[in-house]
Amino acid sequence: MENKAVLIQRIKESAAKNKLLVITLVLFGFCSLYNPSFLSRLNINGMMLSTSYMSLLVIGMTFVILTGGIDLSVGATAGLATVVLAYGMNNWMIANDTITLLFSIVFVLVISVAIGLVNGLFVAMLNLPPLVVTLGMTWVVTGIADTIVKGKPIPLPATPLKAFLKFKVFSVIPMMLIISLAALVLFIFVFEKLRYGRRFYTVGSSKYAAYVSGMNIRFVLINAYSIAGLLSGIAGIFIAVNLNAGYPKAANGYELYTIAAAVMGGVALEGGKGKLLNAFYGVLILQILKKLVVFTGLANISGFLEGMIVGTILVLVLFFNSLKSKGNWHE
Amino acid sequence: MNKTRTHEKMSIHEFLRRYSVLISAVVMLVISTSVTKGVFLSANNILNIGERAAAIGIVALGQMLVILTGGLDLSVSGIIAVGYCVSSLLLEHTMIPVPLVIVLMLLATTLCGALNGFFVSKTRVSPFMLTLGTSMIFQSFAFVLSKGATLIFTRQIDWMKSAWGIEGVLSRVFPTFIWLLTSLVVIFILAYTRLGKNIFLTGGKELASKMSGVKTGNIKFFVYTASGFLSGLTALTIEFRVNMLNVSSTEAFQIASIAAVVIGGTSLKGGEGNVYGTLIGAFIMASIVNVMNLTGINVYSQNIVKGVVLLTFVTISFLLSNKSKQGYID
Repeated sequence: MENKAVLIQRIKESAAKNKLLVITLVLFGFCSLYNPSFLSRLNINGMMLSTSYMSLLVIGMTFVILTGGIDLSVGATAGLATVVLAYGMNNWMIANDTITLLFSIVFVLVISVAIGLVNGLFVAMLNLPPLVVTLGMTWVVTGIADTIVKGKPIPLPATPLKAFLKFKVFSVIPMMLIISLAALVLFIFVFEKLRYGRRFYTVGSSKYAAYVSGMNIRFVLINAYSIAGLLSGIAGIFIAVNLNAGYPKAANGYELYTIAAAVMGGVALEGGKGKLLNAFYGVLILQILKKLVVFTGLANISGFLEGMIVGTILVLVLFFNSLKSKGNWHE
Repeated sequence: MNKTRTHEKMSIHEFLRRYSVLISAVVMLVISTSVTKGVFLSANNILNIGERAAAIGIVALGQMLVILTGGLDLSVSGIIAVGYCVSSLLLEHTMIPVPLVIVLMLLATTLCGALNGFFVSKTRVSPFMLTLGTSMIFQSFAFVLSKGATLIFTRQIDWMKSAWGIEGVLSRVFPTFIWLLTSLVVIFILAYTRLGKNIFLTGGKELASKMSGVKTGNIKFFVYTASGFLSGLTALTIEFRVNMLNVSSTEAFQIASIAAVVIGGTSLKGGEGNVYGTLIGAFIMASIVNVMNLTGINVYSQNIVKGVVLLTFVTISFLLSNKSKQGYID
């Protein structure tokens, strides 16, 4: 009998520690009971695919938000990545198909890091507000992508890349998801265990503390934005494979989605607070909530209704977060 | 000779800081005229720029009020889209008289602004994030309402032209007229009323003004509501000028309004700025788009230029501001 009490106590404690995991599981359970087609192969597969690129984006966003910044250009960067990948594979002919493919991928990654780097340089070197810098960058990046495709999507040719990313391990889990989960584990390790990762927390929570302890704040900021750029590029490759096309607005609005997920996961917008794993739960919760709205028949979801839902959720989460910190000047 | 002058010498930094707006306007004029081989200054083109500048200018006035309090309204484009939708749906599907349609449209956009204002003033939500969220909500809401179709305003345009006797050239000056009238009102509020002074105070030192009795919450509520109303007014002038519109065409107002305010020398940190600068900023933004159209740069590449312009002027304004050396980065 005593053992049972201890067990319940332990479960309670760990539930309190992993509130978001519990919420995710409860929502998942509720959805599958509410509408069994939630557990259908098609639906689960779709959710796994979108989780894979959303979680990459949320990792990058967490880096930036932890330093006290924000990156609105991740969606546009991912969109440009889809376009450049598709354009490269269609138009460049270097030696053979495999080398063209590899070159396109490397080129996409270089471009996305460069975009992040420019963001970082503006924020770190000139001390400009990140929101406005990345907003301007969004227009530049989308403009470049639009200029390349001239308004119409480019189809992505069949390549080993597509076969590899869509390959299903145990004929269930797509390779994409495994890659991004591996990235998630890697970056959780970086944040929790490495001195390098802790720096982002220090810079975010107090620039003064970081300064007096001899930290190179600029280096940390530039790193955060470059990593966000790189991860958006990889997410863009995943999205292109998913859509079978390159399209400038392929990831339109995903920046809002990832910000909402990160904030929901308790990553504080003032910087310096929050856990990557919780931000990942935020992605899962958003995905399930979206499905729930479809199931309740409020609407058959179009991209624009999705925007409304994500926007509303973001505003509500911000609202409840602000209630928590009310009357506390120190925060 | 004996007269002592307090400002004997002005440093280059100070000179640039004070006159950057005028300098950019002159540079813009010279470049535009030479690139277009004089077409830029033709009467027809100036009327054209006036119409465009009015659209950017009115919404930029609201944006400026918000930025003066240290916030940012990213949702103006969404609010304009809601304005388009409300008026077109009322015009097409009901027999409500046009004046009432106009009033209802302005009411709807003001309500959208008030929603922002409520959250910003009553909670501790960051205005940037909040308006980013509501921007998405408004834009998607408008798209869902209009089902992505083209909106038509013929009934309203006909009524405005006949009832107010706006014909010929007058109809092309009308948006500009509204713009200047609105500017005068905003200038009056900022310069001669307590409300105006409190707007500057709220942006300058919020905690200090709060403790000395300024109701910063109410001031914030006012500026976001005003921004909503002015976005509605912008929607009205555009509806007057363009017969058929699509809600997704409003997206550019988000960046254009912020750029106009920043070009006009208003500090993004709040508490510093003036209406005259914003007027010139709107003119410069309109000219840039106009010159790109005249020289045949395609629509897609124009977006690159818009982004670059914003980044450039934000950089310039921060390099010139005295506050830029604050912070522990240096």
